[in-house]
Amino acid sequence: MRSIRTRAAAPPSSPLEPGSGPARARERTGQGTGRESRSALCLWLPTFELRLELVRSPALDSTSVALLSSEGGTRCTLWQVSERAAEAGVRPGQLVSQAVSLCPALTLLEPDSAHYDAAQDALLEVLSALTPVVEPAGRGRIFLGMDGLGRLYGSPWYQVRRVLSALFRVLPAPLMAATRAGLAPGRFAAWVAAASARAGEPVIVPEYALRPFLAGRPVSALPVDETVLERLDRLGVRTLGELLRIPVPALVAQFGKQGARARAWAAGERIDPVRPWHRPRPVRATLDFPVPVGQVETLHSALDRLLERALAKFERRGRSVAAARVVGRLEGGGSWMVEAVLRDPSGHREALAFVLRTRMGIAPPPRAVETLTVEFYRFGPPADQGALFDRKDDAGRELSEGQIPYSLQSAVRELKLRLGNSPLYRVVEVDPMSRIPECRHALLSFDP
Amino acid sequence: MSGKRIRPLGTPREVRVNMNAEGTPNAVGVGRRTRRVSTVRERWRIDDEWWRTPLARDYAVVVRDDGRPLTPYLVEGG
Repeated sequence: MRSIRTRAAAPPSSPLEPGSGPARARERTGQGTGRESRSALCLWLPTFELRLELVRSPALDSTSVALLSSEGGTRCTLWQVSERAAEAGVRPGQLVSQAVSLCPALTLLEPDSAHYDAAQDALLEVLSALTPVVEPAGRGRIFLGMDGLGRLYGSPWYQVRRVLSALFRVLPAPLMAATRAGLAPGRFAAWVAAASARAGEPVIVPEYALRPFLAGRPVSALPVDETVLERLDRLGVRTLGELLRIPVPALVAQFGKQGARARAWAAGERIDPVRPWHRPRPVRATLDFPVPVGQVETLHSALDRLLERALAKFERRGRSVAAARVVGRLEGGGSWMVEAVLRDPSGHREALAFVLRTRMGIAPPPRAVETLTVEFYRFGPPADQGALFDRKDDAGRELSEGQIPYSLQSAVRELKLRLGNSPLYRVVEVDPMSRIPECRHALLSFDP
Repeated sequence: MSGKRIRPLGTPREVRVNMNAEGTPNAVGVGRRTRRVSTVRERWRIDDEWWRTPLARDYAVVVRDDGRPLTPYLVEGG
């Protein structure tokens, strides 16, 4: 475990600090509001996705492997490459044809987003048990807010050790071996610390050592535009310390606001707190097929049943669904996924099924499916009750007398799924002209 | 109608009715709250089912001062 313990004076305040007032002051000093955390621990798993593939297929570990880019295009490129492939000259972003000519034994893998997302979710779940402030920054990079954890876990060193030992229980050994950790004030410094850490040797940067620690780090760590980094490189500015030597007016004149921000980060004056990430708990329904299914009709029918089950779940709490995904575990390993974000959140099975079926039509499962899962992961306002008695069908035509509106039928079906019978009644006339008021109308159970 | 359930609607419950000397309702109490009657819309009397269980009631459709209509009736001898 490396720990930077250089003594240094507190960084002088910069005349370039953006704005003034309480909000700006909070941004500068990183004093959190609510559950924000100034002390940040960055956990970084480089080439997270490729490592997950190697964990899934250990036989590939000793070969040259590359993960294909998931971005559609006419020319297929590489996304991540293994160390062995890199030794042969294969690089991320390279065309497949170039990579294969450099390394004929290269194994190419299709990306499996569902698998990677599930692994990231498992990580977040474990880390959420350690601290309430967890903020993911893409797959394989997670910030944890560590403010106030001293009383629970002890010194920063013990805090990091506690987090890593929790990870060790869920991460496979090859992934754990690649995990890098950096603890520092603010997300930027924590990220720089993690990027400079070696696997298994976290870097802890105390407050007083922040500026000297940052001074020796490369400018490429700055979260600014690529063009700014390229120009700094052309100017011969390699480290954050060298950046601080550029006069402030020149920096602002050249790079504008980005220059001012870059200087604030480099000087350790801008501390971005870790903010708790809110994600609604997804609602899932899963179906295991007795034999793998490849027929579209069977998958559609299974999708309908899963949507009904997911919509009937109590956890949905009447909310409409804004985004849903269908995930399939494929025969022979691997997974497949389609996602749909609804323009108008809906709580109707047909509306959701239509969108998801369309997506499945565009990107069908490449092999037979063993397990199908429907997941609602983003929600809208509660389903619109105003449309419950809408006397128009999907095409906008007026319903004829006696026809039950589709929305009402759907609501009754949902209630029956939950309660076992329809609890709705309809008011019917018994003797409307009776002089005894309670004899005029009655309630008749409604079950279309 | 198989499998259909039927339930009564508007079954009567006890309320307190204050009446003036002419027997016209001027206040109705439902639960713990009593409200004044602003209008009496209609009144009628029934003497029915004398051949089975005699039913004798004095009905009135009243509108309370909060705008809510009620149909209280007085049971003979009540």
